[in-house]
Amino acid sequence: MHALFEKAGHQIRKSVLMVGLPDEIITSILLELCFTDILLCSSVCKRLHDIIAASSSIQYRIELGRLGYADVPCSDLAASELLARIRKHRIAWENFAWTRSEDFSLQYQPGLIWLTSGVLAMLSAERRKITVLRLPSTSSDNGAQPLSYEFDFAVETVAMDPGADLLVLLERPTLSALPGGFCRIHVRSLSTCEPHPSAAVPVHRVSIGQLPRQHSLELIGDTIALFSRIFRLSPASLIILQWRTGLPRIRMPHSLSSEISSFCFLSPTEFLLTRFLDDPLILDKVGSEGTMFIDIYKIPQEGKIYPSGSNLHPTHVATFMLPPISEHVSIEGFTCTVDLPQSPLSYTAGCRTPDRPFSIPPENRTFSFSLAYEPDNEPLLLKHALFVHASTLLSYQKYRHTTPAPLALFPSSNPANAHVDAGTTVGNSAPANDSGSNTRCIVIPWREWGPSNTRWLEHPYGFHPGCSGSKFGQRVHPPLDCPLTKVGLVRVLDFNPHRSRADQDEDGVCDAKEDKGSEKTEGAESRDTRYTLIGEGDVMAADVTWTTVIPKGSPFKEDVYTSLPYRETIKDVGYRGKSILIDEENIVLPQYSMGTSSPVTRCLHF
Amino acid sequence: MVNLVTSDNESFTVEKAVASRSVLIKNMLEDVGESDQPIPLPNVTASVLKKVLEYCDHHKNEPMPTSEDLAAEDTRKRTTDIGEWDQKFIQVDQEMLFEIILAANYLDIKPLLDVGCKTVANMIKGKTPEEIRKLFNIVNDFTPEEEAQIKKENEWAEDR
Repeated sequence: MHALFEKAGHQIRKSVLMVGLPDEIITSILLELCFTDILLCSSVCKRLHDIIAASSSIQYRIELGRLGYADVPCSDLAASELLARIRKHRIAWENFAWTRSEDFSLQYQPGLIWLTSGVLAMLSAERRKITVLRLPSTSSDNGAQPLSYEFDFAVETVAMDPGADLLVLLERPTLSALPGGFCRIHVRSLSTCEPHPSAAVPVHRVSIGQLPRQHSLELIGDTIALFSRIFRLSPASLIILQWRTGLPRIRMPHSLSSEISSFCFLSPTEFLLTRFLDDPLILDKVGSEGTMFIDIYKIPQEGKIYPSGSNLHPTHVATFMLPPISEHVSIEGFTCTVDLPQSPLSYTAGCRTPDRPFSIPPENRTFSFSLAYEPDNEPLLLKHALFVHASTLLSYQKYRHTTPAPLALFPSSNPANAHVDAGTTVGNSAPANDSGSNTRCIVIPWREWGPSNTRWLEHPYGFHPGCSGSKFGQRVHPPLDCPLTKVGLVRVLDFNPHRSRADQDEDGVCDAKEDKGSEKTEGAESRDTRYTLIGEGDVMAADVTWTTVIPKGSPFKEDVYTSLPYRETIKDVGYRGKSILIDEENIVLPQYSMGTSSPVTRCLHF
Repeated sequence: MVNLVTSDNESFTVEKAVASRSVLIKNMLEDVGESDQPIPLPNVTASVLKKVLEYCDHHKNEPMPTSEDLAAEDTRKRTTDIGEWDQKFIQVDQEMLFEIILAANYLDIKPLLDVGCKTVANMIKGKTPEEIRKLFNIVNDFTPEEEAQIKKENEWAEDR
């Protein structure tokens, strides 16, 4: 009976088993699987292995999985072309061998430049003009001419989603124009600057308390968030709304605890707030248990009718705790940065081809948390950066079994939690929140989640004011002019868990083996020897897979171990600017010109 | 009404709307025009055709997928799950499942083929190679060296 498999073919009528199906049907079946299941199938038998090896569509699926990219639908390209393109792209990032480099003559202001999925937006110094440039992409060979839009108001900050042709502007609030602590969010089309055709409400007037000066405008799919406060460590406002329907989802003007330091979306229905206990008036920092928290919140389900003007609260579902801080330091800041993810399936209006060849789903992004602290008796601000996959934070449910931390570690009496308790009783008539009463907030101690799922890196990776790093998806570029970073380097940390380790590419790229020696040196980190020269020229790369330790006292109360693997790639490009921006396909090096020479912004394309 | 004759010489008389779920039969009917001639289906047995016709009968009033739909299919494919009725319908033994897939392929009934492929994929999901072999009665025809080589090739995708 087993002899059947030898001469597989659909003419076999009796005992049709899986391997008796024709190749094209087996291919369709395999395409229903995720890439890890496909790879497991390739070691089942020779026939499956050969089908998988020979099919461009399946190989393309595997490449997407390897890079953590989402499938970009409906491309007019054949699978073999898609496969060739994505392989070339992956290898370019692995070796810093960008496929082209282009210069643009653009005027840019430090801090007023954004890059999202191939679109560069620059705000003028007086904040009344935006220049939008679509960079050349692999999917649409020619970049467009820069577009300039002028406004009769000052733009405070910008968020965009080129896939949805969306440009969101926060109008700079002014006392005269907006008394009573209101400000305006404009929902526009990125290609015309007209009110967005899909938006039910083109301009949202939202209450954010008094005149705030610090804003963070975030965007994920159909959801927009505005997190704002007057100054650092003042009570914050959080407004979340859906731009297509125009409906509010979260409305908390001026009512978030001053302990909360930053906001980031995890998914369209979940977000996180970073929080640390640092009240200068409380000298005794809750005994000696001072630390930082990553609080995860769920946005209530749609479909409820909210009384207008009432506060809408999220539900606090989980808290990830960070290691306890040594009593000899005081925390100055604990903030989160992550890129704005794209709408998963989106096209430029009227165009069948996606506007970009690759997209990254929200769960495959890397979050970087920045910790700034000051040791006692030393007027020196030190920094650490913590890197975590979004998927780790999103899988908080699996820690439900975790024994709860002692209550003292999670002070429920502080104002940060006051709104949490109110979360289930929003809107008077609303029925009990489904994620409310029966599910308590999950508190996850550091030792449960930290050591194996995160990576702490010291000083040079901390985010410094005035010099911005950049990140996109799983790649992070640390800020350029950090004290220990040599000027002129492009340096990317890639937290993709599926980097090519055992490299089997036919393209002859082989770099993993040379690192084998260093992988063995667990626990010991030697900054000088961890780079291995690969390929030609000055590209350096290293796979960091060993455990690193931050010794007790700086700033933690105990030795802190972390082991999230990453790959670091460095190349000297002689860049002298201060900002760097990255997205799926590009590294952008904007050049700021003070004098007469026209500024040149260089775009490295992968 | 349309008369279909299976490989084991059983004949089925069904509504045209039911038989036309099969693009193969639909095209045949269009080519032949109005005719009482029985249509031979030499690749399908009676037990399988009975099952396939059950599917066609249930879905006879749904619009036929257009070529435009088929082109867009790829994008939605993995996001759409198997419908409730289809799920019950496809709860058959493995042999019948593969027979249905082959028949759907031969008769060109794309939605049924999709249901079949998804069902097999769901059986594979999360299983080890050894479990997959056991499930489908597949013989491991790799040499130990080949197996080691493949394992090494796929090492990067292993969960860490």
